[in-house]
Amino acid sequence: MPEKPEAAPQQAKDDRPLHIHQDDKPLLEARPLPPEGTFVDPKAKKKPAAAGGGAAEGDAGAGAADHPVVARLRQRFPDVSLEPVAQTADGEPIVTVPAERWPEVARFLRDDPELAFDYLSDLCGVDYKDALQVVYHLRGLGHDKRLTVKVNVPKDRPEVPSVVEVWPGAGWHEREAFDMFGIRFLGHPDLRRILMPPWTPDDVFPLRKDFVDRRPKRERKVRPR
Amino acid sequence: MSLTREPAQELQLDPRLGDRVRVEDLGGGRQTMVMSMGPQHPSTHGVLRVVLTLDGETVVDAQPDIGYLHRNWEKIAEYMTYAMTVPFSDRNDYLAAITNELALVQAVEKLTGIDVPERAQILRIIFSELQRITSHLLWFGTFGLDLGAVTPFLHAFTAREYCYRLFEKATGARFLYGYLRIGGMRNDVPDGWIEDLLGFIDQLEREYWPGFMKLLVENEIFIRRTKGIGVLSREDAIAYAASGPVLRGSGVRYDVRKADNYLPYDRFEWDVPVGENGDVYDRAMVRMYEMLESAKIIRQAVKELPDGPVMAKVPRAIRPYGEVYHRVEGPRGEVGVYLVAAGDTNAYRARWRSPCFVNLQLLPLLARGHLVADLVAIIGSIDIVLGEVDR
Repeated sequence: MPEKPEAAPQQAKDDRPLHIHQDDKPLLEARPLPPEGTFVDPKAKKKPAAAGGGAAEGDAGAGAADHPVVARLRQRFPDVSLEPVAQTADGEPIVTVPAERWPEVARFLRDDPELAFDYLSDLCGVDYKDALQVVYHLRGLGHDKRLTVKVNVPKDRPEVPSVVEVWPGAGWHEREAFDMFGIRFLGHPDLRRILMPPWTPDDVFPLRKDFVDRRPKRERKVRPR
Repeated sequence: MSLTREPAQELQLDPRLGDRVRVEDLGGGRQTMVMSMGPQHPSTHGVLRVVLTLDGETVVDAQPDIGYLHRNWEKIAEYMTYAMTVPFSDRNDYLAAITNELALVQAVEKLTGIDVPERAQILRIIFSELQRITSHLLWFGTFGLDLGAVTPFLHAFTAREYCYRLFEKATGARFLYGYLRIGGMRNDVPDGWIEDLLGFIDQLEREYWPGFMKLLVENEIFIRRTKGIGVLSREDAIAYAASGPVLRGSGVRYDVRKADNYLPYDRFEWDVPVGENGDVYDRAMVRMYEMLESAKIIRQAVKELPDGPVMAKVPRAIRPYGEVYHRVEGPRGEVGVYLVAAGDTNAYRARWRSPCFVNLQLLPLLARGHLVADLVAIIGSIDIVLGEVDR
């Protein structure tokens, strides 16, 4: 004979409504945008100054500022600020492009015979305290040049021009960044949620640092012994 | 019954179908039928739903609907330390766990500047190539099933079982290993393992591989089912950032192993097989010949395997700063890991670039104008693992 399972114990002392998850505060903390373009070890920064200031490798921007790819971009777009220029742990230059100039810079990056970044390896979003960031990892098939482009967008109006027309492969990546961070890609032909279920509320973006899991608490069934 | 010529109101649909199947009248006696294939369809290799728009049996549009296996690796990785993330990354592409671990582990090594001992590097090559063979063996079996050939599946699994026994001997697990560590490997391979491995490579080259070619790939039915189906042009493959055998099947000689040389692959003599037409047949042939190339690499790597430790000295707590985008060539293409490190033991942002996710994007492009039965072949030729598409 099937026995009826006991109901979950009522949380009488807790006056929060039951449908809010117990951890109804975000567990992660957003950090402000690093002014150097990437996170830099504060201790490592002091070392070159002590050594005499000749070698400034500790400063992330110093090695990348005169990188040929960055120099070519500066030469073609003297009026576009690429700051902060930084580099990754393995020496790949990072430039930060303002959102309104990004489409023409992107087209140039792909079409310029010297740069020829025809392969968009990856596109993703990052959440910082004061802005959202879209990160593009560019490669080319005929050469070994690399470039990371970052575009910062304000959190209250997260809008970036889409690069689907430049690199069609960005289509699903941009949908994913919209799904996870709420970044709207202007000009994207089909900007819908892709990984989260379609009934996800419109203001829920799981990869933002202030995301709160508000799913209903799973009812605990106590099995009779 | 031809759906294209009869008017819409005469088509009687089973009422039990509900709104899962929809008929759209295009006027002029033409109709299309919108229906979903999956998410529990056996040919979709997991839980993939494809929303098909059909004109008769011809595919007008095929839109993949993904996310059924989504568990947000990227968010969970922000809660875990770097070392804890490694076994969890196995679960992304569960058919190629070693290359997943490799991508993540090498990204952390780049961030922290840890030098990996040479023996561990060569062992990593051996294991990732063995993993590639294993993964392609499974693809071979299931691709045969997709096309209606049941016997090759059994033969492929016999060979694959041999591989998994080798993995189990060295790592203790058959499927999801947790074998690579930040700074090296968990343990060295046991005594006699290299001989077993060479035994498998011998048997693969002498017996399994020629058998597979005779059994399936040189079969006329196979050739007719695959030649000229799902053609992906060279330009589209590059523009859509396809990778792995899908990119190389379209005639682009590009392999991250050659381009980035993230492990000492340049010491060995091997080729990158490419196709010509970019159809299902070429993608299949690229995978078949990649097995032989991997076997070639393993043979040479075993000869150059030096003695020494397999683990570098690694600090107890890793708190790196900076960021890195590292990519490796998995069996399905370019596996990329982007880490943003802000001085914590956890990554500030961890991003998984999954090759299947990008390659699956091509499905509407490839399937248009083909029959539903060919769509099954096309999905099989992209070789998706839904665990990695949805992450």
